Amino acid sequence: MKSRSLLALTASALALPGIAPIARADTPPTNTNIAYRVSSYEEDKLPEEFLFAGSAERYDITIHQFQLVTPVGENYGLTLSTSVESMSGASPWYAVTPFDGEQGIVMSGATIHEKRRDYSVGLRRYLDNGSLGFNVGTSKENDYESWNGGFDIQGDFNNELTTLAGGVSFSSDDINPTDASLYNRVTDQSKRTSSAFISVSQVINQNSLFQSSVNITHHNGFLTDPYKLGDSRPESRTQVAWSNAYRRFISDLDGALHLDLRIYDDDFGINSLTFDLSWYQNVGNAFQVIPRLRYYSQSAADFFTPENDFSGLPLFNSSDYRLSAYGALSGALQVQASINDMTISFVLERYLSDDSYSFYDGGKSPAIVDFTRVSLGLGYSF
Amino acid sequence: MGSPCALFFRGNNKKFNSALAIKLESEIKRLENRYSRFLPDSITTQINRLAGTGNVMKVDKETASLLDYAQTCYKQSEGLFDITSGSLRTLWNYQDLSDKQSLPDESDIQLALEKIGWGKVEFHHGSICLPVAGMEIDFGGIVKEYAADCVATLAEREGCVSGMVELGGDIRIFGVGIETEKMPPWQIGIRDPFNTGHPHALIDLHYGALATSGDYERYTLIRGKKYSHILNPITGWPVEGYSSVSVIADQCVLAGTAASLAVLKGENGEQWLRELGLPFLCIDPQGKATGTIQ
Repeated sequence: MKSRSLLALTASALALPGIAPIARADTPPTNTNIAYRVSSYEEDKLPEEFLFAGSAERYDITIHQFQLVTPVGENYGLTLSTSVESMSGASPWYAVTPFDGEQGIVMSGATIHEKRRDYSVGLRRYLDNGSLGFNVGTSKENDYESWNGGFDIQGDFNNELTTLAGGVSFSSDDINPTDASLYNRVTDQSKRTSSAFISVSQVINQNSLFQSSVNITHHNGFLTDPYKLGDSRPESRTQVAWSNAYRRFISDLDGALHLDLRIYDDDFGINSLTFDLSWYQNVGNAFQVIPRLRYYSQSAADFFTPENDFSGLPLFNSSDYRLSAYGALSGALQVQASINDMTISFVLERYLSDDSYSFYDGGKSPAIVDFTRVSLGLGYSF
Repeated sequence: MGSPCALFFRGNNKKFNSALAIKLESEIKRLENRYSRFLPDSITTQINRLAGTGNVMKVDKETASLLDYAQTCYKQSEGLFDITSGSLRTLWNYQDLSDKQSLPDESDIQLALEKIGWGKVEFHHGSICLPVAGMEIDFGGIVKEYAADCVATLAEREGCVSGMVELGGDIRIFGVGIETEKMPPWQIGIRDPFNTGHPHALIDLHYGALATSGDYERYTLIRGKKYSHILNPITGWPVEGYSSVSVIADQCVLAGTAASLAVLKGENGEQWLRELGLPFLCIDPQGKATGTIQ
């Protein structure tokens, strides 16, 4: 049992900025940091046995991201981000059950070429015991335009060992599908999204940290996928997610364990669970190697159908594989190096999904996707 | 820092070493520039200059944290550790060891005591006001040790594997590789107050800090008697008791505070250190050592 004097003196000593036991994020940036990342996301072909018609080639997406973080005065940090996403390939159009009773997917032809551009600006004001952040952004595709904004506040308590945070964000999306008259698609649709979160993080000791947060998101408006035939979804969706993170540095191994668990529920009828396990291994002074494993399992939406019903009878009906019951396993390896003021990082990820991986019952889709992601990032601080 | 400083570390390569050495030295310089009471532009001087004017000074977060720490020390020591006790120093001349001085007048001591007392200072929400003209604060008993900790934090953040910084006799061991790379411990000598050339004891330290407080480095001689430079802010007189007290803690600032406080507590110091629970070594004026440091 430590004496009260020692506890009081230690707590006060650990509050001194030069003796921070764990580096915290809520201090204003002192350097300007620019970062660029290019990622390639490639979906596997749809297996031939499930292809009923169309192209088996699925999406290939290339993403270029650029970010600048810079101090403004003593107490502000400014973040500018932009990204360009180029997408090509085919996507599932509708699902059928031909005479043999096996499910089949009708794909779009390999004619989709899309480009999306995102821009966002964030400003954070750092206070003695916390910070306030604002951000606005926009996202544009040729058939879609979105504006979003958010505000968050975070406060440090208990000698900065406890951090409470909360925030709200909004977005407004306008959707104008291409080739609307050709395929009898809707035009001029919109949706609104509002979201709020609260989180608490607690430094347990010099080497470990726990964080828990709850996020509630509500969507209102046109939530149907206009490019899928026979797709019709409710005009409102409420999602609740509870996320927990545990971080532990193990000094004997010079590495840190990251454990994450997320539990999700929405009123489409989807429940899901995500479990993430990563190990951050320091190698020498400049390198870090991070193997990562992730497991995901979800139930199907109430109105998910393995075969589209074109009778017009069901009010809601969708064969979108993202609404089916499935599970996914992914493994990734990240290697990063910091050399002087430069950082470089490389990520290779393989993602496999299967309905048998899910521990939930419900409608299954043969269109669930496997993909490979490769990403290279460069950063420079000055 | 007004006292000998030394910095040793095991680096990665020549370029890393010289860049890190510059960073660590400038960190020490930064703290000296901010908190030395001898520099006309330091924060300490700015605060002291406003004493008695009624003006309130808003300080930055680091200074506020240091003042918070000083306040905790004041409370935990029931007023013995007091960063406002500086004006007593002018009554004692530590430069002159010729034994030709006389003791200060009791009336002068009482006059000086009026300008002393953290309890009189108005310090709320990062704003400080020294209400009495001539009142002074002095971070001398804290910032040297804090600087050693800052050097350690910075060096570890830069990936330094193993190192040691000594600022005026207070030592901090640091490094990210201390446990993983099975580095040998640093061998630290605890100074013998009666034979400054030889260590009283040698200890192995893997990590943390060793701070020593005592009268062997700075004292004055009056009528054949040694008077410590450590002054009791309640009586105004130099403390009597131990010739030196050394304490080991994770942070140098903590080790330094514990050592100073034990000296200030005089003969009760040892009991207080035992209750505190940090490893310590007390050496009394006869050269007898007691404590838990082996």
